[in-house]
Amino acid sequence: MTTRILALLTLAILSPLGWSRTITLTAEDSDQMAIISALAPRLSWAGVAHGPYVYDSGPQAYLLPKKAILIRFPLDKIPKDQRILKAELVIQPTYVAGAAKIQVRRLLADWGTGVCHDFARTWPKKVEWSQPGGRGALTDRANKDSALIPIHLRGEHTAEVTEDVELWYTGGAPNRGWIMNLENDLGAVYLGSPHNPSQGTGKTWKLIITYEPQ
Amino acid sequence: MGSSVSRVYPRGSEYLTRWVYTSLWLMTSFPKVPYSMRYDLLFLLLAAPGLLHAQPQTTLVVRPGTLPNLVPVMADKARCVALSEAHKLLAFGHDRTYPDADLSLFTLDAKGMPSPAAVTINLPCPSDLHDKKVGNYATGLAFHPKLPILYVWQDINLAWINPPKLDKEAKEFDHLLIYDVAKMPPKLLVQMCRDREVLYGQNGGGLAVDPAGEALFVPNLRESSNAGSWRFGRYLLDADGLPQVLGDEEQKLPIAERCAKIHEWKTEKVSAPADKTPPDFVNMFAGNFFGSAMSMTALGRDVCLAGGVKGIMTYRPNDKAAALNGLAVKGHTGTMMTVHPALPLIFAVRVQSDFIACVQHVEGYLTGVPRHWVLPETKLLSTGLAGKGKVVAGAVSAVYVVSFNDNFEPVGDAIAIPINAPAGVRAMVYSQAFDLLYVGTDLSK
Repeated sequence: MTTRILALLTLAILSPLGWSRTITLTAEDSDQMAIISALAPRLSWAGVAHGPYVYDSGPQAYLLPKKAILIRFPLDKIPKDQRILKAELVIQPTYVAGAAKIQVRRLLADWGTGVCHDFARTWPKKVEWSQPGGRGALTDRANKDSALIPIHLRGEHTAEVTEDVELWYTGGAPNRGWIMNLENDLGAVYLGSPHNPSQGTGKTWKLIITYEPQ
Repeated sequence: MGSSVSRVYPRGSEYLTRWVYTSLWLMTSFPKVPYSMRYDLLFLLLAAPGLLHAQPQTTLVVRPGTLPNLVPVMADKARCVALSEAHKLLAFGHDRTYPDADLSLFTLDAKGMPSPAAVTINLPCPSDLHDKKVGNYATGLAFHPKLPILYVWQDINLAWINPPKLDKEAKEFDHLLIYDVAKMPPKLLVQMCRDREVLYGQNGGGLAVDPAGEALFVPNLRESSNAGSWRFGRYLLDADGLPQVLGDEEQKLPIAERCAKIHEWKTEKVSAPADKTPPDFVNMFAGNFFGSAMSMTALGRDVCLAGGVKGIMTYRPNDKAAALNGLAVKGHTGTMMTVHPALPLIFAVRVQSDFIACVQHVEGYLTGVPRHWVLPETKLLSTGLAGKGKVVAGAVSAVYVVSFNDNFEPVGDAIAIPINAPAGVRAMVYSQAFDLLYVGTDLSK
């Protein structure tokens, strides 16, 4: 009996200190998203072209040359005073053509309402990207890749993004999310749209974070 | 109904609370629970935060209350409404089950209060359809912003099938009606929009005129070659508020002659507008019973926001890059929306859903991720504004009021106001000039 009580107490005392936790965020948790395109330079939601001059937020997100997906995962689910052990970004392409590699970079610019290919935001006032499409290095986005994901097959692809999540969590840089585009604008990748509330493809976009108390 | 203290919960928090309390209750209330099971419970208790999965929506507490600027208007079985502040007129469209009239027109006094009695109108319907008791009803109303002109979109209670069965009488049913409301009773100037490019049998279909009065956006059109490919469109309006469908010379004729020419034109040609949304087939316009655009707001002659079965759409007839853009909102049903006049906000209600979707746009460009403000155990039917920082949603026998702050987040409790509308509050409109919210209610029996 005493042993059991001691074990219970030990567990209760040590568990918050020593146990690592893993949380999975999906695009349904995301608070900022956009799919921008040079072909429709004022749209925030140029996810898929159903036909000539018709763009929609879903159900697919076509990652084609001169397009980009912007997504921010809020990190407020992680309690204070934790250490980020690992963070993985998981995407699930449904189609690939050519030698497509998805380039993932941290966004630096303060993008938001009205974001599109031409502007980082258009409300309350218009703010241009330093380079259209948010591709300006060191101004719009980081100058190095957080991840480069070669896409050869359909199915889940995972990229380690621990450094970015740690940077955001510790306040080393504001969390403005990632911009994802095709490296050198080559190939084509189709994904379930991160914003597709009726069909739930947002759940295929995952940010899996493992942390432990410091 | 809860307390007056505002509570805003992220989804999932209620489950955590239940989880913790249930676990503690089990741990403490049952002395006979084996210790090994208590360890399991303790483990689950400690692990609970890691199992949480939150979603970006806010569930509001609903409590009874009042809205001082709400004006009930006796418009039985009201299903649509339009307001003209310029001409101090309020028009309600009735459901087809209301036997006395299809439209009721109320005049507003200097303080914006509606007249006790309304001028009623029965909408024209081919006699064959009328005799068969098919029933016609208005789905959308819009006033010209400057002229005393009322636009009406009406439909008939015939089932839409693919391919459509166009009986002679259905072919001759005019969906768009244009009334001169300068004098009472109103005078029907033009009736048009018929035949194979127009959908029938729809439960919804909005209308919108732009603030300058240069364009009229109309719903429920289709590709003539494909009954499953839906669309909506635009007529440019002339200086008298009539659609510009005639040639340059005919366009110079006096208004009475132009109306006669439009009648000739519609019987000779397809009378759907030349400007229509690009073909989309079933993506944004998946088959439904709410029409291609259940609600509409024109921001300008070249920009129209519309609520469709997938969510919100923007139509820009002259945009060569993106004439039609869609942003999905949760659910697959009709969308009633209202556009804030100053903020970049659209409030949308999915018919029979329990949330108000707060969608952002800038100059009609849809942007951001819709936020869902959940009103538990409701089935919402309509939406509107009710003054600065207040949005309203109509449901069966109630209107709900939600206040929001400068960050476009809901604040405080939602207020439930009982309304005598057993079929649901579907027609309400806010007047900025009078700071009044007009709500169509049934007559007390």
